Amino acid sequence: MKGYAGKYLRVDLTEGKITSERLEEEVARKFLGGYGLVAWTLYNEVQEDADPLSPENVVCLWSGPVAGTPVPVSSKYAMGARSPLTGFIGFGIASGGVGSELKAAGWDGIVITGKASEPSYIYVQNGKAEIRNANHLWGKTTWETEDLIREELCDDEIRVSSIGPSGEKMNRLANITNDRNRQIGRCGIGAVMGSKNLKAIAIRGTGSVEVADLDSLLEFCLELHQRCRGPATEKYRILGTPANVLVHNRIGCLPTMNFQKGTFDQAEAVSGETMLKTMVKKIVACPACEIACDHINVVKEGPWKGTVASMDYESLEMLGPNCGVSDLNAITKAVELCDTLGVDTISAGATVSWAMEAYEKGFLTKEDTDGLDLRFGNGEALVEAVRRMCLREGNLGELLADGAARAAEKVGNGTEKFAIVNKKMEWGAYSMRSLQTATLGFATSVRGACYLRSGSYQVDVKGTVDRYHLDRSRGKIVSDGENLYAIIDSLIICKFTRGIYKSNDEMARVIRLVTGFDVDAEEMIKIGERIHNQAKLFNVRFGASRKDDYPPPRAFEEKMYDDVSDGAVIDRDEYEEALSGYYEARRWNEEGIPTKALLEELGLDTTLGV
Amino acid sequence: MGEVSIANEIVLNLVMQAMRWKVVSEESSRKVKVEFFGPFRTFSKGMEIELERQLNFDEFVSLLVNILGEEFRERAEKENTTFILNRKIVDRDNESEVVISPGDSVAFALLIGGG
Repeated sequence: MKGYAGKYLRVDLTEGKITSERLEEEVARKFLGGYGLVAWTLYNEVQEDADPLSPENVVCLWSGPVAGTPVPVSSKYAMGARSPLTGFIGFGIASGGVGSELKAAGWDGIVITGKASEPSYIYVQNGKAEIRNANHLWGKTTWETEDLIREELCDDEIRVSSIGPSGEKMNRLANITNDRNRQIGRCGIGAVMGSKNLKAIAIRGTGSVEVADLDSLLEFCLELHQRCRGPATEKYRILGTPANVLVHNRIGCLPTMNFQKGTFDQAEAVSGETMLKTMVKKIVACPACEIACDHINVVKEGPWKGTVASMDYESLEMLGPNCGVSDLNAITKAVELCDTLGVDTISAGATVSWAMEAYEKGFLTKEDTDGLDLRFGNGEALVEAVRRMCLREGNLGELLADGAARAAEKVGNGTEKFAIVNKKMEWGAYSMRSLQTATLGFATSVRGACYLRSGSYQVDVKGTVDRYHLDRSRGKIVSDGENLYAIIDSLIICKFTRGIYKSNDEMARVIRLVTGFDVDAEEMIKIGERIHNQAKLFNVRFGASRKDDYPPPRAFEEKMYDDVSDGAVIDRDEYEEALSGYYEARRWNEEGIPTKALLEELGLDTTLGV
Repeated sequence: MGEVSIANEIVLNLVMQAMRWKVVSEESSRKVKVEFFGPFRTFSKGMEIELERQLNFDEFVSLLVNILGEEFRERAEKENTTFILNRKIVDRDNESEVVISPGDSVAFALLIGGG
């Protein structure tokens, strides 16, 4: 099978046993790789009674067919498990070199079950793998773990995906870090690794990937790489994603003070423009990447001098303006803590901003915060709150460690209304009420509030639609986006390169040249639809229905107050209509459940259909 | 009498303040505020331009080209440029219908998606 190693590892941590299993061509054709194979694995292997933090949960890691080939920015990988944060499908996609390293080692994926009796890590090499003791790594940060494993195995080129102390403590916001600054960020998959006593997965491979038509692929990839250096990706190269801060502020969609406002009066101070001038020390690229979007900040003075962190828009925005903080040094320190101790920056920012609002409104006292003056704008308090949250330290750390929704459940008194979540996962850095197509996409996302499942914010920010209102047609925009993004996340290619493909035909051509599968654009989108429905079926197994596809109360009940989007609010009737339009476009019933006829057409199990 | 003249003086001052405000207001209402973000900052952070009449998008870009140079046209006319007129993001497919009027606020930017 071209483009694939044709086999994956099955690791039973309880038994300490590793076996090799064949990846059937039929499965590869139906689900491609990455996200698709995560959805396939979890649907087939996670049983209805499997608690996310029990040995019965399954955690898997998959590369895609293009990993290790010359396709631009194709070295990504996906990891998934039943999410301890949402209870539904949990997965993430990370950049860096893990995906291509795994393929070079001769494997397409790793499926991990059970629980190790003591801290362990998995070491995967060319054609083989072993479970190794990780007692000496337990308690270490992600960066320390990466360095120590390389030192122990005497190989600087080993790729390591590891959890920090947060994952060990099973914080439901815990992430997995590789290549220092790249994360499987969302859904708390790091906590699942921690629950299995699995500290890290280390991979080293020196093989190559055989493709179906190398000459044509090389020729086409040369052109794609040239396009990568052109205008389609220019925006990512100069300022990186923090370029969004001032623009989002200008159009009133920069979440500020826990999503109460869409503008931040100190936006200039935390902008990509300011950051580039004052803090960016290095710009880094992934393997096979012409773009280099990763901007590394270094704090030059003050109490956090020497702090280093990769800064993207979502981290900057959620730990900055959304917490009312304009001190770039404090924001950089908060990001570094999240990355090294192992917590998702988006969820961390949204959880701390919830706590700041609760504190300012009197729902949290200084006793609850262990003396911390947790006001909006207090950078020192932000840093300390993040540290305690990551380590479950004190009253505040214990309260925040499992995210905003669970913290609000504990505190009660109406604080649930300003926990900005969907499916208990914290909302990303896009304003709910001034980007309403985006909101529909976030709320219907299978993994909880997420901007990366459909990219539906694009029609809002391009001015294609009235972003302050919704209608039935938005459902198809979200649905179409999900199908295409399912392909991007299954191949896996970087979403920043989506603009270099002039059409879906070109993306389908990549699949043909790499795998030899006879796939045109129409068939490719059908695969995307299948993958998305497979993920949805997993959620249906755990009780998902229409009730789970709404934004939080603030979106409907409170008007924004700022200079640009003043008065903006989501009309509930419009939302209901758009949601029904989405289900119609997906060919699901009014409760958001796939029909048996659709599942049969897609070649999926029809048991849970209606 | 003294009280009357003080009162007259107050009224006169108020009238003069109102007239000054009107003058300032009329001057500012002829200006268009232009902001630049991201790669556009290589040209300028922002400026105010006096506008005698309404302009369409092409005319407005030409006006800026006179100030910022021909390179600005290349940048502004790229498909991925975002043009913001007051609080509205302009759909680039309909940019020919855009009218920039004295008193408007506009911005040029590149919007970035997630990845």
